[in-house]
Amino acid sequence: MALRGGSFFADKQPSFSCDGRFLLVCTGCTVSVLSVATGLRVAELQGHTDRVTSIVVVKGLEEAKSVLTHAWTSSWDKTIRLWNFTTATQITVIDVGYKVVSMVIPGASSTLSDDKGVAFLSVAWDKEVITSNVQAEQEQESESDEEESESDDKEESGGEEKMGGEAETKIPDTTVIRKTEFRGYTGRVLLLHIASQKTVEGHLAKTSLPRVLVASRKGSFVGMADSAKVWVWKVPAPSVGYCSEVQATVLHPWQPLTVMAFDPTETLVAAADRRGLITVWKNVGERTFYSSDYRRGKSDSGRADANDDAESRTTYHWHHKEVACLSFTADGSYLLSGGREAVFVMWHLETGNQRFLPRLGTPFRYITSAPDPSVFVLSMADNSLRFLNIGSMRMDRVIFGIKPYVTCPDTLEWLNVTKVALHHVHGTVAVPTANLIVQFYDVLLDKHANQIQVSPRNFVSFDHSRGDFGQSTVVTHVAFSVDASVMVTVDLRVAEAGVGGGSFLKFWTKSSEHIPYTLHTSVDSPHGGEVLALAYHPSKNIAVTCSRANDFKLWVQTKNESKDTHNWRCSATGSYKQKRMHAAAFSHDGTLLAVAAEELITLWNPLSNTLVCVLSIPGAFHEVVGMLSFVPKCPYLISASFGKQPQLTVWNLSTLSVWWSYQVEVEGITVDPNGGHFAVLASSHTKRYHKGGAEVKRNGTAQVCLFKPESPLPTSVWNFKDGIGGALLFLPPTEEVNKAINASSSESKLLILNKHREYVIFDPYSESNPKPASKIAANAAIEDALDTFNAMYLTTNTSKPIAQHDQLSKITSTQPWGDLLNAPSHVLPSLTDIGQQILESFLQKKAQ
Amino acid sequence: MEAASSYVPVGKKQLPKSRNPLTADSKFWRRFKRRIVDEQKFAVTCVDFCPVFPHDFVVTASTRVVVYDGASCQVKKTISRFTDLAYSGSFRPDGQLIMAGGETGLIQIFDANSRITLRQLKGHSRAVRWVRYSESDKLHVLSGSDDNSVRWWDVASEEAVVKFQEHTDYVRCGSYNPASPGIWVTGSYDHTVRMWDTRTAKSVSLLQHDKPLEDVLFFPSGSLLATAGGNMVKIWDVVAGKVLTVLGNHQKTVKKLKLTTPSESESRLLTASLDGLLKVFDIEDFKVVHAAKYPGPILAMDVSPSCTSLAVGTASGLLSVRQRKSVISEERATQALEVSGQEQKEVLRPSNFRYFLRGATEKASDDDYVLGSTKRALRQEHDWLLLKFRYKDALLAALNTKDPTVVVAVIEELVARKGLVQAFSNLEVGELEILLAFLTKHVASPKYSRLLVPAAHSVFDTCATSFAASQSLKQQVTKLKYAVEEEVRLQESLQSFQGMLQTLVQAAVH
Repeated sequence: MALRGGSFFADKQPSFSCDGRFLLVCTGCTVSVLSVATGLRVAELQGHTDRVTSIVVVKGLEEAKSVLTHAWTSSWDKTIRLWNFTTATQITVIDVGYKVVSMVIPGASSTLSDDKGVAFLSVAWDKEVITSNVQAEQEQESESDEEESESDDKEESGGEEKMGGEAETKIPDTTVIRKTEFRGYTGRVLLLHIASQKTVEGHLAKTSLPRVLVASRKGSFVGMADSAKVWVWKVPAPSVGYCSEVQATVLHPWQPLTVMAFDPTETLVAAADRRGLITVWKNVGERTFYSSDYRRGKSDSGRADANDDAESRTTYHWHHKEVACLSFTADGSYLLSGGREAVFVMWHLETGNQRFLPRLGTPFRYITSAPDPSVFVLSMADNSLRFLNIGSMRMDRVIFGIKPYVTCPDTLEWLNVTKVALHHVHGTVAVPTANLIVQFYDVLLDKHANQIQVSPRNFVSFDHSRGDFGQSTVVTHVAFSVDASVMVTVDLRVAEAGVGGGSFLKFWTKSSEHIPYTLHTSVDSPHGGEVLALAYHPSKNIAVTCSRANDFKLWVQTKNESKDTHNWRCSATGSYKQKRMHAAAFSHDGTLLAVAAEELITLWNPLSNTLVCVLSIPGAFHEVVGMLSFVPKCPYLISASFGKQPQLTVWNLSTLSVWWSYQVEVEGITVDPNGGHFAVLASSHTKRYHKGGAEVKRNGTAQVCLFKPESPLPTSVWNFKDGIGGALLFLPPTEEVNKAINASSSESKLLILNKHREYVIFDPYSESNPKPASKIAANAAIEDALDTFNAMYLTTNTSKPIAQHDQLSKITSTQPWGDLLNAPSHVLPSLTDIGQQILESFLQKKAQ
Repeated sequence: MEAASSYVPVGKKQLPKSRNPLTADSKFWRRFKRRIVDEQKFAVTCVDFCPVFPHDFVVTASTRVVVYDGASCQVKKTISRFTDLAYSGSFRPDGQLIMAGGETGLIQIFDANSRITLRQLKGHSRAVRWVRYSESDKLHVLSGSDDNSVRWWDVASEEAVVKFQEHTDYVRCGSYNPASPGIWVTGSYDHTVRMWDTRTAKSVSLLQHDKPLEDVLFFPSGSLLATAGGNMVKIWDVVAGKVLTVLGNHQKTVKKLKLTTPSESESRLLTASLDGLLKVFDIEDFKVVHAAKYPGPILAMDVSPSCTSLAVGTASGLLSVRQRKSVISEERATQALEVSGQEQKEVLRPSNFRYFLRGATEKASDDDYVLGSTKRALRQEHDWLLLKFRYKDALLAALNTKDPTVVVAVIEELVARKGLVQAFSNLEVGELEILLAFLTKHVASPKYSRLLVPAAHSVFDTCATSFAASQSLKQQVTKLKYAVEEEVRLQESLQSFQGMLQTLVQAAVH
């Protein structure tokens, strides 16, 4: 009954099945099995209750490789599980007791036999565990350290996923775990005895943050890149009793590391650091692990570092920014690396020569080797998996997921950008994303449909160390005509030192089935300032843009009779009292245009360009109306204002008065195209965490409330985890939609996206609603939470619904002079005539 | 979809088209590209195109009458048989003879090829400023002179057949009626236009222009007459003797009238005036459809009969000839034809390298199925530098193209890459000069000012220290300052003008 999809599968390292036919990717709290041949999902492993962090496919003998379909997964929900991924059944669950950030099971081939071996776990070690009075001060110190590291994290993650910076549950990143809670975690590396399902006493390493573990291909070693050192452990026999019995050696690099890798022969260890320097140590651990052999032959003199157990150290430097992933080819002669420059580099280890595959358009997250030695899978930050053949240096296949949200620069956080736009083509929505791309995503099939780059642009990775996060170019608004024949986009260039900023308005037309849209008209700087809102007329080819330059413009498609072409022209400009226009909406019959002018709402006739009416929210002078929406088939207008006292207001347009309102911060509004209902995405907690002068919302949970405009009592309320920063949209009830979610009703369906762009589609009116769980975290299900809502809002409700007449009479009756002055000023009698009566009315009040 | 995209080159900045698109007339007249600008020593008093292809034209300046080649616009012949100033050099309608009047009152007729003086018409006591061959019979010449007389000459016998003496002031212009042979009009400084029948010695009719007449011109129908005198052009209905319309579009005396003759309906009236403007009128509604400005008062103007060349002579001695582009290309095509005609098309053999390139330049015909080509977009120099992240060099490469659309596009790309400030701060003194020169030239242009004004600010912010070091930079900065001040002055005056207009409009409304 509910459809979920849109996961970020480039977030964790994927893993190939033994025969190379399937690719297992972490998709939130499930694992998806993708067919390598088609790129489609074959099966989904459901069972974990929190994000899955790593996958280890069980390997076996060469003959049995197509039979072996078992995989271990570790998760943030403190368990590790064994699955049969062709039947999608769970075999074993082992409760570890700690949130597992990374897991490797070296030589996982033996897991089918009785001798099950050991698993290395990198776990998040809650700081609370070690809290005591004595340590409180230290903890504060370490916390401040961590804040630094968090800011470092931001630098690392910066461009691609800013939203993550505010999350409650942070997903462990590629190399460095972001701070997961305010209190934070340190890292521990533990050893798990799989047969007995118990952890081995002690720990292998303590780290300031949980790190990612790497196993060598043969399975003799496990390594980890910590910030200041590289750990290498020799995999012990399963009978090991204490962690201290495990042989380990530590290498000391010059710079904090980000990632490491073993070569297939297990003699080389490669690690990369934040400056982009790749260091390769040769013959690591000869002294420690093979000490008797070693002492016979060589002396200490030629070693890389007197303290490190390695023969020599070689460096390779091409990357000028941090390296995100490293991998050796199967023969060990090439090293593959990728980083934020979006360039794939292939190093010949002996000569240091490089081969490049430039302009991949998005930063790297992982490089995963396939059973076929020539194929590698690149997990990219734009949520795509690219199958690269290193022989031909060509992409065999690309699997696109739904692309992540675009990151606005800090200076533009006030901008209310389009997060998702209804495309009016069955089942597709348009999502603006990084690098000026608008992606068309089929939400019913959970499949990438198409994409358009709004303006041709080359990807350039910015130097985040200078503090400029975010993009320099952002698609801020997307709108479609009802028949989807016209697309309107607004993209924003961020000025550098005041030079060259501004919005670009573009009109696109659909010319053929195969090409999504072709550019028709481009308007450079349609207004003096940035465009703040965009709306498209429901029946005519009219678009409206509002700007920071205190005006709005109507754009009309006119026909050029002589050439039989269409032109887009600005037909009218409007402004109201030099107020900044933040939002605009057309009524569904197209006869009214509502434009928000700071705290006021102005209603215009878009056909005659005349001002019809001005609405003002009583008592709101410092708030700014940022969202507007008409409810079809009934005379209601919904507005959401922002500021000190954010407000959701429903207006009755037949009486031009406030019908009801809530003091609630609204993230998104969507109206049912069938009329009668609307839904808002509201942040649940106004409680805010104050940190360094900046207000940071700590609780990511948002409420989705379904209202009838007549009544302030919501029909349904769902809690939605990570909903802040998300979006919601009503999908028209087409056959395809109904089919996809097994519903038959003719009601519109609701699509909710969270901040990771994981989404759920369900019928909001259905009684038998199966409490649609968010894909990311099953424990944070959307649930009927009317009680919580009541507890939250109805008590702090600012104004209850009052019928217009009552309200008027109340207002007038509350004044001491009654309805004496209740007339337009030009028909009022002169003050000298009525002064007496006014004074008398005051006296009467006193007397009462 | 290709995962690894190729580099997107930075093209020229696309600017919106003008809000007032060019009319067909403007487009037509804009196609006249300047072919030669010849500096004569003295004022060019007359230009006349030969009616016969290739439409050579004769230019009268000082004592010389110069024949130019109609196609190449090169000097073909120079006739210098005048002891004093020559006037009104013109062709006989068949292009065989050239005649010209002179300051002395002598009219000379030359062979256009050999330049031999064939006849000399003596009789006028003062300068002959206007002389024309009869278009009907090739045998007669009409001349107007400063001795107030108009004479009708028989060329063969060198005798004045008829002498008209009704004008009371200089006769400086005249026109032949194309509809009825033997009917002429002449305009005089006595403010009158008289119509003559060459069979009688008396004027047939008289039109009062009220200003000294500089030029008169019959329309092809013969019933309409345009007269130029003072800054007015009057259009007369000759039959009724009434003024149809008065064109007061010129500021100064209109010196020359000319009708183009592509076809009856598309004909345009050209007027040239001492205010340096050449205006084109639609002869249906007599509205200005095009205007061109020349550097100096225009004395002479003519259009070739095929309407492909436009020659204008000014008082300062400038001769400007413009030709339509298509003419030039046609000419080239004919040249190419000639060349190819000379060398027979050789048969390619495998010994020739071109043998292996056969068909490489073949164009697809209409019914061919064309496969899309994977042509890589052309990369300019700044593209190669941007590929290597050499921002400063890319900016300089763009500046070297001297194309503001390219520079603006590169600056925008640098902003998108957050590299503009870096590019500015790396500039050295000589390079800064180039940048400042560019800014000086284009900072006030409304097309680019939105980008370039902040860019100039940014340059000043980042490079202020270098300015003090170099004298030449200081000069550049001063120039830029002047450019900005000039623009500010212009804006202020425009604003004050707008204010004045507003009061007028307000007054008109109420």
